[in-house]
Amino acid sequence: MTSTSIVNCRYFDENQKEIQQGTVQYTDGVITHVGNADDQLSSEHTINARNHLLTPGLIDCYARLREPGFEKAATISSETLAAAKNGITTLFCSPDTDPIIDEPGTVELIKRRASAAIGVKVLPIGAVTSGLQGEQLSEMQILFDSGCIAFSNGDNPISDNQVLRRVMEYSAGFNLNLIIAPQDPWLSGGVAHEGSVSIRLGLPGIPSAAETVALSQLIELCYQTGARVHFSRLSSQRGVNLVSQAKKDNIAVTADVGIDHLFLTEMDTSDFNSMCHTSPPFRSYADREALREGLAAGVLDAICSNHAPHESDAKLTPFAESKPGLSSLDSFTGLLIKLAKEMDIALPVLLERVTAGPARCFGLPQGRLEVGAPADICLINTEKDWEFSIDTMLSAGRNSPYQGWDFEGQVELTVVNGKTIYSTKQDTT
Amino acid sequence: MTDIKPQQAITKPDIMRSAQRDIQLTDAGDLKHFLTIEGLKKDRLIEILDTAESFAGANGKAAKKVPLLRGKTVANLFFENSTRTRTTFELAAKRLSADVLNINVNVSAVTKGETLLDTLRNLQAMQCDMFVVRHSSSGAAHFIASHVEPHISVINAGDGQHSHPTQAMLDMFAIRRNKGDFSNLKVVIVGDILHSRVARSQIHALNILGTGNITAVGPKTLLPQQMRELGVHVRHDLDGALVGADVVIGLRLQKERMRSALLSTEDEYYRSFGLTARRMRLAKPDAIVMHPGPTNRGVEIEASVADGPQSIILEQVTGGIAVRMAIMSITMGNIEKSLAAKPGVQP
Repeated sequence: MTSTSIVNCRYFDENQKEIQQGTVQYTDGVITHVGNADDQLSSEHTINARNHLLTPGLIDCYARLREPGFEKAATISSETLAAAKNGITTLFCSPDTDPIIDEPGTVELIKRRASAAIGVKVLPIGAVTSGLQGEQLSEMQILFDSGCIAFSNGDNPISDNQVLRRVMEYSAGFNLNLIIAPQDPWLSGGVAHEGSVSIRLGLPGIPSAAETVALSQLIELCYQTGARVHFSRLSSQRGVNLVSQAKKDNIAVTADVGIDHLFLTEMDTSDFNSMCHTSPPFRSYADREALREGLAAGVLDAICSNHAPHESDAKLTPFAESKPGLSSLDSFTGLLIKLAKEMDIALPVLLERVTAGPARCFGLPQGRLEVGAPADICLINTEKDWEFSIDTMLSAGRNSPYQGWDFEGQVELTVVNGKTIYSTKQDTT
Repeated sequence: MTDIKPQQAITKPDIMRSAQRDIQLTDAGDLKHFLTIEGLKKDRLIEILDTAESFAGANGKAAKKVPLLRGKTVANLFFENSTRTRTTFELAAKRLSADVLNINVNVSAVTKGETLLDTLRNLQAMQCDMFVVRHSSSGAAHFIASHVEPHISVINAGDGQHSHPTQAMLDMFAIRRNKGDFSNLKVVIVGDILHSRVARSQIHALNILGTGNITAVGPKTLLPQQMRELGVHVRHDLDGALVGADVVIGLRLQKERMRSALLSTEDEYYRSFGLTARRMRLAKPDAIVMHPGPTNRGVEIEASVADGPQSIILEQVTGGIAVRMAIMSITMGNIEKSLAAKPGVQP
């Protein structure tokens, strides 16, 4: 039995939805005490975490790790290192690798690579159609048994509604979770939000309707089939409204937003900055505000990274020709704390959206500081100021627009199943 | 769960804050690249027009050779086909005594897997001093300008659907020669505004020069409401828009618009938006007709209008040489000035 106590910390209590002061102890990979300081507690290791914030390890429910197949852009090893530095202990990886995650061998490979890496829990998202072609159902049951957490068609929308309906029915029969980024394939041919900036710059636009048309269809199919669908990476005000209404109608949907969409808008593309070319596109100021409000109100259950690391050449082209996506893991926690300090969302609510929120969406045991839960934790020094620099990114993808941004709050300790996988210092006594 | 509030009034951050505004200016605020008209001050445009006037003879032709770019190499980098624009740039550069390199990149480097940046670096290594760039991607000229060495000037000869600033300046040159002052003019631009880099640049130039009334006309598929934000009236009826117009600008209609369901047929387009002699009677009697060329007769313009007395389409082309000479000499001069101000940097 090896126990560690983290004393004098402020910790996030998911049940009370507030920040408490006290001690958290974990023993052999499991949380064994949460609450007031207790003299009876004996631990081999004690970490004095005065002024630090202890949260369950963060859960990122959509990231692209590029391995297998695109190791020139990033690897499981490099990206999980960036995740660990940001307190992320569980990470869902997208199926759009090469080979695609549509057979158990690929799942095995990813699991093996992940366990040889720093130790972040990597949960593969299986392809919902074979080869992500949007035609034939993949072997979801077999993929689930081999370790897939959910199923998705990645960034390729399924254009045939009959296939979509079958996907939903089939997955609902096995109680499997779907992750769908709502995008109408016909309306999403552009490269930037269709609005004043795209009109001014002459960039082909993607209207908000690309999201809402797809969402409307998907919500009706959810109603029809009873599928458990998690809408991933919402981008528009009207999209948030549709999900809000679906929830009021007791349709079993959940939703998330990519962290960068809570900060950046179409204005950030106004100098053709290819680093801000992403999918779905950064939309208007009003859309960003609606996403923040939706997050605070619980319409959006989770925040994901939507991490998309690229080789540098992918962005060294004119805007429209650059590959979409941001390398988002290195800035994830910095942005999260910034969100809490700059907007009207209480820190506990925000933390819930990256811990218990996604855990609830996908039925995970982690994401909570509770006795008996896995000891996945993250200790944040909320007072630490730092400046974001491309040069210190751990992700192999340096495609970040945040060069020079000031952040407050830095992760100092990340623990997975009781094992320290990342630490900035050694003040264990 | 609370309701999400309906659309709120947008408090817009400063649209002009981006680096794009600065990239075409030297530290002293002079023009070193010519990428877009947007954001330039009125006196810069006047300077270009006045300089062009000094190169142009009484008939608008830039006849004499001047040594302003002697010893300089101008590379015409055309990633997209063009005859007219490339030729006038070549003539302009030669009249400024520069050496000219014509590179049709479509059929050379890119097909060999060379990236745009590779091509640029190679040309830099060949001691070019100016790149005249045409590219099918919006923002390509900005991209190139932000990656070239400081002694190189980049002139945008059309990037995607974004900007075609030299075309807009030669249009302004032709308007000023025919109409004098901009402030009392009513200008109508008709056609495929959405996909037109020419229209965007014209609208910026006209606004900066103080034009009183600019109206854009076209079918709704080719003229979205947001165009208003560029500072134009948006209308979908040509007859109504033409009433009292001083300047009427037609835009070229690409045939592929029919295939992508933006329009029905050429016939219906001509019926609704064709510049016909009958329609031109709605404009002022002394109104002029312009077109960036080449024209699709019987699609966007009637032959008798294109060739008629109100048309200044060929005058536009002629003036183009003097205007491009002006732009090239101004930017190159400013680069030399700014490099001379920085000791240790050899131009």
